Amino acid sequence: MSDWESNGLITPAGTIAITDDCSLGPALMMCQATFGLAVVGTAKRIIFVPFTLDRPYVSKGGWTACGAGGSAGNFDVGVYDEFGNKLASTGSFAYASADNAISASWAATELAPGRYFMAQEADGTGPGIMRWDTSLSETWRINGCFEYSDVLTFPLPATMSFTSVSHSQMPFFGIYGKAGVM
Amino acid sequence: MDYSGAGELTMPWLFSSVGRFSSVGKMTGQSLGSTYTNATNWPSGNRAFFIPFYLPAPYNVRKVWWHNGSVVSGNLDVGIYAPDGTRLYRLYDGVTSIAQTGTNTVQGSVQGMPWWLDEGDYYMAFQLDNGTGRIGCNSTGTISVFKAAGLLSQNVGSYGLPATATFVTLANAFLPWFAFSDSPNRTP
Repeated sequence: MSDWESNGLITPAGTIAITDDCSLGPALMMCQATFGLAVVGTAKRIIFVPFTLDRPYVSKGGWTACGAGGSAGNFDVGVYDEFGNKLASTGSFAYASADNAISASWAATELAPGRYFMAQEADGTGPGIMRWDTSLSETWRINGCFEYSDVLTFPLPATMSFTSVSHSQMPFFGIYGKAGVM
Repeated sequence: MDYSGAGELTMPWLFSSVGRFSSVGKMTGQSLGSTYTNATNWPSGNRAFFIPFYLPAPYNVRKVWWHNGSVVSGNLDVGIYAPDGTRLYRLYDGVTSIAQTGTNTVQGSVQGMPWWLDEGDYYMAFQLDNGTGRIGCNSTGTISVFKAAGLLSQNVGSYGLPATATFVTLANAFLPWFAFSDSPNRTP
């Protein structure tokens, strides 16, 4: 047996997306959900997706993948600690009707190795997003996601809710750091 | 930044049969070739499925959960095995059965916990005592891919995961989705 110390599970560089293996990545691969463009559908529904960091990460903003054809609206993307306290968020940024990963920055926030949730919310039903849909909300519940679907507030609240996911749609979003741009 | 890095790992608040610690989740270049479903009957009464996984650091399991499909029936068991087939833990204690309860929802149990697991290789196991109930799963596709992930099964003669597993080659393409957590107070 070697005296190799690292187990090799080091979280990714650049952006951290829900597709990474420190988040929903493997489950997204295995569920074979339909991926494509759809409108948000439910206003002010917040999705919380778990991820872990094995090393410090300086976060500088959030992003969400959009597509053409939707109507006007705004997004907020943020990161919460494992207890549900908001650490950083973009605040409201506008949907642009085009194939794009739209983003907004926040003040550089260092995330220590640990457990986190990334969150995404839209203030209206109309923006076009890239998303997965299995038609089964349990796909995301099994993998540790939560939801906040009946709030009347936008942008993201200071404290997250650990309410069961009730929707089957999973938007493609994440956070970014390092270079400070998307 | 004063951080050495090497060997430091953050264990997630859950790991699952399709997460990055499982032999299925590490197959990042190939899916199982089937869509996740809640509408497939358990393949055979009392059949158990075993999924290899590796824990890179110790973990204290304090809750397990699974997805009940569109039909629930009978009793289930969930456990952890050593690579040689020795059972380390299971939910069913020989007295109190784990009834499958509630369709189309996530059901959890803390019976007999905590389960302490050191770093190492294991199998996670799931058994249902009938062929009527449904668990969220992958249930179609090419069986070679399921076998390539190291999945095994056993037709157990009765309800309850056995003290020693007799692993046999997978007979059908089937993977139940279930998860283990060190947080006893949350079921997603």
